[in-house]
Amino acid sequence: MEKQKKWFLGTMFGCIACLGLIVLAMVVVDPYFHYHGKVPGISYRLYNERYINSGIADNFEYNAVITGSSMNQNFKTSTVDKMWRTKTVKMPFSGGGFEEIGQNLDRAFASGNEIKVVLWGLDYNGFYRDRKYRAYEDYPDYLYDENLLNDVNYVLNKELIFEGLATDLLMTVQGQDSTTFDEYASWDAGRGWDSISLLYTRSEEITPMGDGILSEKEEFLVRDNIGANIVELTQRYPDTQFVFFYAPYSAVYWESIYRDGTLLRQLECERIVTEMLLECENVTLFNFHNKTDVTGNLELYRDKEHYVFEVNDMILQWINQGEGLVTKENYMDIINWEKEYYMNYDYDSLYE
Amino acid sequence: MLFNSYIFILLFLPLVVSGYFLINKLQGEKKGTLDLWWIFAMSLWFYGYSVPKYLVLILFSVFVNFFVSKRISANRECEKKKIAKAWMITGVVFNLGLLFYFKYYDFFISNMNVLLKEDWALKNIALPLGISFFTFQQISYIVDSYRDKEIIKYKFIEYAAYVTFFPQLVAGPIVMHSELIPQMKDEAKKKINFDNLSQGLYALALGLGKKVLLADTLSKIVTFGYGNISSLNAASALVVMVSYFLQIYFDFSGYCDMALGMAKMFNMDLPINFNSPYKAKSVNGFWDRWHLTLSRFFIQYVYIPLGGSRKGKVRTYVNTAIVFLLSGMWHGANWTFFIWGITHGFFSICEKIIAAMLKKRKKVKKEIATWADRTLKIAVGLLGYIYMFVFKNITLVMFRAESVADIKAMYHSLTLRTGGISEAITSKVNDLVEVRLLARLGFLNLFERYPALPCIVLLLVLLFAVYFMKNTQEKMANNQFGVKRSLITVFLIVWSVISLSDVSEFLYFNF
Repeated sequence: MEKQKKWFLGTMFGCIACLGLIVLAMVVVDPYFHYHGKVPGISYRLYNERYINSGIADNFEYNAVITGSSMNQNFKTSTVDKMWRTKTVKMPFSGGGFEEIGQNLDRAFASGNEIKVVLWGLDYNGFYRDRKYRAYEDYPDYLYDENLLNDVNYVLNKELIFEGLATDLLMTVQGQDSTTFDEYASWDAGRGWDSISLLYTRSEEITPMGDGILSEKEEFLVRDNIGANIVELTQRYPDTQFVFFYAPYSAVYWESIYRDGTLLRQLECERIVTEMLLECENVTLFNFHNKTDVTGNLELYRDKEHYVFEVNDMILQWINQGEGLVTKENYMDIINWEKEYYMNYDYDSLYE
Repeated sequence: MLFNSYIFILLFLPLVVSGYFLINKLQGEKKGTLDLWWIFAMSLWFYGYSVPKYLVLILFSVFVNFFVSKRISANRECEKKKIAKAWMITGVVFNLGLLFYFKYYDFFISNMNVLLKEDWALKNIALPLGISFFTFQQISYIVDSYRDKEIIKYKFIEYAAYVTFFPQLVAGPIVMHSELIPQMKDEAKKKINFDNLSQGLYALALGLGKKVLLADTLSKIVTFGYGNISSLNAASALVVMVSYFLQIYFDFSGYCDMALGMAKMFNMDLPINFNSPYKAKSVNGFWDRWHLTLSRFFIQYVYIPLGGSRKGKVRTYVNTAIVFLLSGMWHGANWTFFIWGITHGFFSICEKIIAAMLKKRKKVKKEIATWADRTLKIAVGLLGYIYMFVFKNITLVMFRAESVADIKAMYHSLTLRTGGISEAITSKVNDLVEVRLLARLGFLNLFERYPALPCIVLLLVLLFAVYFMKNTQEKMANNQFGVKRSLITVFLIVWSVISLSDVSEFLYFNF
């Protein structure tokens, strides 16, 4: 019995010690910044947006934020820092809906950082959606709430230990630097028709174009989505300048809404959203749909919406130079131009 | 609450075990029932953790069954056998009614709607956890109350603690009252026994590892496969089928090990429920090794009362068919389980017929056993393994598929000889942390060249394990608790605990 007692107690001690060491290492290194910011001397890999953005929002020091969906992943914070003399963090959400992006911004504002500027490229196809729209429901809530008990999912999680803790320690040992915000979430993959056609097939039929008039219910959908997730957000933080732009999708995108008969509806959504945003005092809005040398150059696109990193660089330049600025005076001209241009575009030329 | 959850492993289990022995120590020689109240209360927490409303159901079921058994015992004492029988029938009907309502009501109504061309509303009842188990357990108790030689006299808390005892509550084994309650009352078993604690911890570690590290990994392949049957070619379908063959084995084996181990920590022995079933060479042999306590229930409370094998061959076969049909329906309210049960019954009866024929021939040949006979025996044994491997893989499709159409579609996939194992399936293994770790350690080129390799190796290793390795009972019987076993236990518990939480894949499909 004495031998068994020793065995049992020794084994229990082994389990507790191993689990305790793992917990300790996760809390000290904190690869997803759930408890604190970077520990000096440790190299950190920034990756897996929905796991790490909450930690960046909470525990980094910054005064400018780049956020939004994957349209914003390739922005370089170093360029923004030079442009606006800020200390910028990037917190993109691949496929993110307006609500979740807004909630993370609330988190950033609650962190104590005095945020001067928020740069947010709005998904042009995200207006006509429910305000609660989410591409992903299965969220790591334990990284977003204040409940210490469910942190067990973080500190004893094989995947996060391997991809976070072990990777960070390995990078540190190998003398690698931490991921920069220029690098974080950025990508440079296939481009041009070969890449675009993987996810886009031109429909055989052309659906007759709708009249572009939204019913009361449809208009409410748009107003509710933008009002609750964007307008109210900007009103909550009046001392911050919000810089929005409509992500300049490729001509293939315009063809897709032309062929499914929703182009005019989309323009009507744009009108509603633009009017709502222009009413906000601390909002600056840009529109780059008229950059036809970009939207018509498919070598600058990975799919019909996603532009490559050179376009992100151009967008920063345009914003810096005030190009594409939307005002109460010019917004209808812009929309009318879009209607004229993309309704009469020679889409066949894209296939030549 | 699940066995494979943080709260169970890190909080519930240490608390309930230490609390049990602490209470017993405080009770000393007083022989109170506080320890059983503790087990009862903690088991209710365990049961109601996810869906608290079903606590009402289990408590109602326990109270009614205890009351009915008391009425049976009281009437037996007064020799009012008919009234006792009426109470027994009432009890059985109550339990079956409860099971029918929660498990089969919607199935019944939807079939009636088809048959009678009606549109009666379904109730969409969520199946209460473990209802199939505690209902059968209590049916056995009610029937035993009526037919056991000795009149059963338990206190309420003894009965309640027995039914709700958490290691066996939600997935068996189906423990008889006569197996557990005497152990619960045994004063000698109420003191800490490090021999049992060690054995229990070891069995728990093995079970946890089987469930979390193996079954849950295989489940990723199976879930994908059965969710996308139309996309499977022959190679992929085969991998999905074998994966399910292994998943269900390690899932149930893991659960049984954990149940056994946790009961052992309380110095209690549960009946063996799982005994290397894939080592069986026949369907009947399989049922002597798989879910033994369910087979025992059907034999004692259905097969034997129907006449068993005492009323001639034809009745034996009919009784066998009835048992397998009921077994199929017990596993789930779906025609797929019906087909599964019928198929098992059919093969079981065929085997019995063949065995009876061979027995006659054996008698003639008994005198001339030669080396050729022995060789033949080995060959037949090998054929038995192959027969059961094929049989189980085919019939498990009936068990796992969600509809008869899915069963057909899966079999059809086996005929589509188009390419190898799909990337969507191999990625379920290649995405595992363990495989990515191996890739980082130098196997990356190999895995990139042969992406199906980790998946195939995993399945082959696990097949080897189920056919050639010792099972948990055999390992526990070898009572050598040394450093090696300690390290294995620590490794399995730690690795399993850190594997409990998954990371969601946020794949952006438009990107």
